[in-house]
Amino acid sequence: MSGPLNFTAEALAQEATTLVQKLSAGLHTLPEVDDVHYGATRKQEVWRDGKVVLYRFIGEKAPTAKVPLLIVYALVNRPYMVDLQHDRSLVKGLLAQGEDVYVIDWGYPDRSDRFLELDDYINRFLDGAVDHLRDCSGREAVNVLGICQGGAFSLCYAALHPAKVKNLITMVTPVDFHTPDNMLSLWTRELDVDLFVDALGNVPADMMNACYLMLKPFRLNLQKYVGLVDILDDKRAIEDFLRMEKWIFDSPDLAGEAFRQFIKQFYQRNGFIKGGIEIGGEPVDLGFVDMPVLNIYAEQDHLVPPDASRALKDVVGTADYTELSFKGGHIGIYVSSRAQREVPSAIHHWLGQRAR
Amino acid sequence: MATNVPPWPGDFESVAQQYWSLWGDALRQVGAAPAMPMPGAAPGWQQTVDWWAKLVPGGQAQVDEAVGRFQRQASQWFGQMQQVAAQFTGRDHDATDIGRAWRSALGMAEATPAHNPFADIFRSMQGGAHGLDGWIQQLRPWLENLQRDGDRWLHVPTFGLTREHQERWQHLAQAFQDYQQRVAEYDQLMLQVAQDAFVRFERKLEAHAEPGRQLQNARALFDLWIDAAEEAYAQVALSEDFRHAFGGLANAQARLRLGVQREVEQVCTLFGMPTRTEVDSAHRKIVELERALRRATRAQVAPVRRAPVQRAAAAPAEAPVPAEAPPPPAPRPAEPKVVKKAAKKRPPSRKPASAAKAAPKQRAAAKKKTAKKPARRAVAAAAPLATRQERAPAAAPAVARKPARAPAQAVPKARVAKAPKKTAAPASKPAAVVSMKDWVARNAARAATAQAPKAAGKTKRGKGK
Repeated sequence: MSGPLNFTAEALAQEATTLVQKLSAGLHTLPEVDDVHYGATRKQEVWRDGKVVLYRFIGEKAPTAKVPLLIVYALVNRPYMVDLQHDRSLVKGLLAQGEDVYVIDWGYPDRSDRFLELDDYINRFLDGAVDHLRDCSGREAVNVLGICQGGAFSLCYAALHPAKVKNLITMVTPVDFHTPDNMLSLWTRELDVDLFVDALGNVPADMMNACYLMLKPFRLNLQKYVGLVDILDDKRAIEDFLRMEKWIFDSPDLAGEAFRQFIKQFYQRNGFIKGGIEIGGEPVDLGFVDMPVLNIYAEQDHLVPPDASRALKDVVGTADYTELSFKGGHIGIYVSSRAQREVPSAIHHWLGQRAR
Repeated sequence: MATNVPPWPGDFESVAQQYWSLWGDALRQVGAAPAMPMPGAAPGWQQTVDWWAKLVPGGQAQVDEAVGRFQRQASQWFGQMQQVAAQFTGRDHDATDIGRAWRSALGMAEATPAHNPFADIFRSMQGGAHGLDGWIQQLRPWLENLQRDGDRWLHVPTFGLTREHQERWQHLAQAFQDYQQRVAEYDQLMLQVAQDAFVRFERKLEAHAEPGRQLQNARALFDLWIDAAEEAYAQVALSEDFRHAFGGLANAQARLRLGVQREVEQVCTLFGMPTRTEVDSAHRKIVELERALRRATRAQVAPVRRAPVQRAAAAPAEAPVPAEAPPPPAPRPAEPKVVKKAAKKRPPSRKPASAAKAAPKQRAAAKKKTAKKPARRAVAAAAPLATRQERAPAAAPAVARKPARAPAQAVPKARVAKAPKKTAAPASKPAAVVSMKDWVARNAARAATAQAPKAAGKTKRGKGK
């Protein structure tokens, strides 16, 4: 038999039978799946400003690091991705290395938060959290780990308040928003963001999620769910799948004004590269980021292409700049087994070399 | 459930009957069959999945959503691919045959098909996402009534008592017309994606025609199709045409939404109900009042702000904090943060407020000390300390944080120092890509090397003496 397909009818029947078996197994396993929980590590609230909360993670042993490490996540998803489950937790890895880890949780903005601006997020919430950590630790400056959009916020913060950031780590952080492979950026270029925000107020999370799914529509809407059938007989794999689904779709709405400013200044004007970013009336110039910087990007990142992250080295002011590539994607950098092996160690070693 | 596969009956319908039979056995085992009667005729894959989805116990949100997503789209596409695959078992074929069968299965055999499942994927995502499509469908009769007289009506001058209303309706009808046009443009691009995906699919199939590279099951065929579709989509989605179409569609949606919102507000106003504009206005006032209050509070307490902590003096406070032992500080609401700071006692490790005057010298000394470190060397060399402090008020000693933010005026642009250029420094910047894996391994090796002599020494001493 010639042609691209080399299977017999019997093999096709076997394949169909296997699928039916999996579906059948799903009737046993799915009812056993409890509400999926996330967060492997105990944490305590240590500071709050409105809906924004600063948590401290509590490890099994006391931290040996002297400088707090503040994780700053994006607004578009929930920060528990960094502590998703027992065996997929960046936080757990960092605690095991002796870091003293905190995370800022931006909460779920509602309509009353529509007029929050980037100034509020960076100079009020983030600065408030950093000041709290400086107060508690007695340190002049803390370590900041910014992830994705949180990395962009951290860069702005470090440029505006360099004395308060001892070491800056950026992970999968966009810096050059106009690289030719940046689909999201291209799509925003002709968006009338004023009209958009005026019409919507806050930007609905579902709309943002639809945008992310549109980056790889066939893989993320079709192939992934056909793949779900393969694991229907494995309760643990289903729970992992559902936990990830929850994280993907458990997204806060975005405060309208902050969204408007972010799209205009970062996506449309490419302000980190071309200049022109202003937060609360103050210009942001990455040349003032003079503390040590570790920039980690993912080689197969479809949301933040590697070139978008790597651009940091040409615009940042520090002479102590380290760039590491991670073999994986935008999500894999937190949850893959490779990430558990490599990312916390890399961060800890790098910080350790700059502990004094 | 039986796991033996019965002999191949010769066609896909019979396969469906076979697995339906297996399916019935499975359901009887889980006790589901009596509660949910099976359809009379043997169904295909999609009916099986639909029936299965009904049997999955509901109530667990994540399970319901995942099953729903599988059932709504993924299983349909895969089921169709299974049927296509079944047509080519046991006979010679080529890539074109499969491509043609797949086009036909998707209803896209014609050059300009009446139906484009590609566009449906995106429409269902967007409709499900923020309900615009469903919402427009509900409004469609009304909007079409507005358009009944076509373009002529849209451009008739408005006058009289209802002038403003007529004009608003004209704008709304124009927005609807524009939206329809943008949807058509977008769909046209999706059709282009579909056509290109078929071409790529056939090309990929050709690459699998050689013995040893042939596809071994329907799932592999499906995955190959996904690869082709993604490639075709990516090419279009990164194009200027798509950028234009996407932006145009999003803007048209927003204009239409705003137009309808205006009508809703008219009705709300008529019946004395609060409108969104009013609520937004109230929220804006609250936010502005809050900001003004914060500025005023900061301005009041600024003189007694904390001086920066000296690194050496802070050493005792650096002892690792046990995770369990000391009770955590109660969560501190931050709203009146500066007021609290002004009132509270300072911890012993920090300087009293009276030391604030001395702070500048210490700060300068600390800065000099810091500047010796390689991390800050270049910047310190390139930018005089005074300049940097002027640029970054947070670093200023007596007023440790930013002064009251009377935004744009606080730091006049003319006074803002330019960031140091990095012509002098970047010797330590890596020239090549450093893999995290290698970096971690190298550091681990260094750590091990550093540890080894110590360990060896200890052993020697322990054993020898």
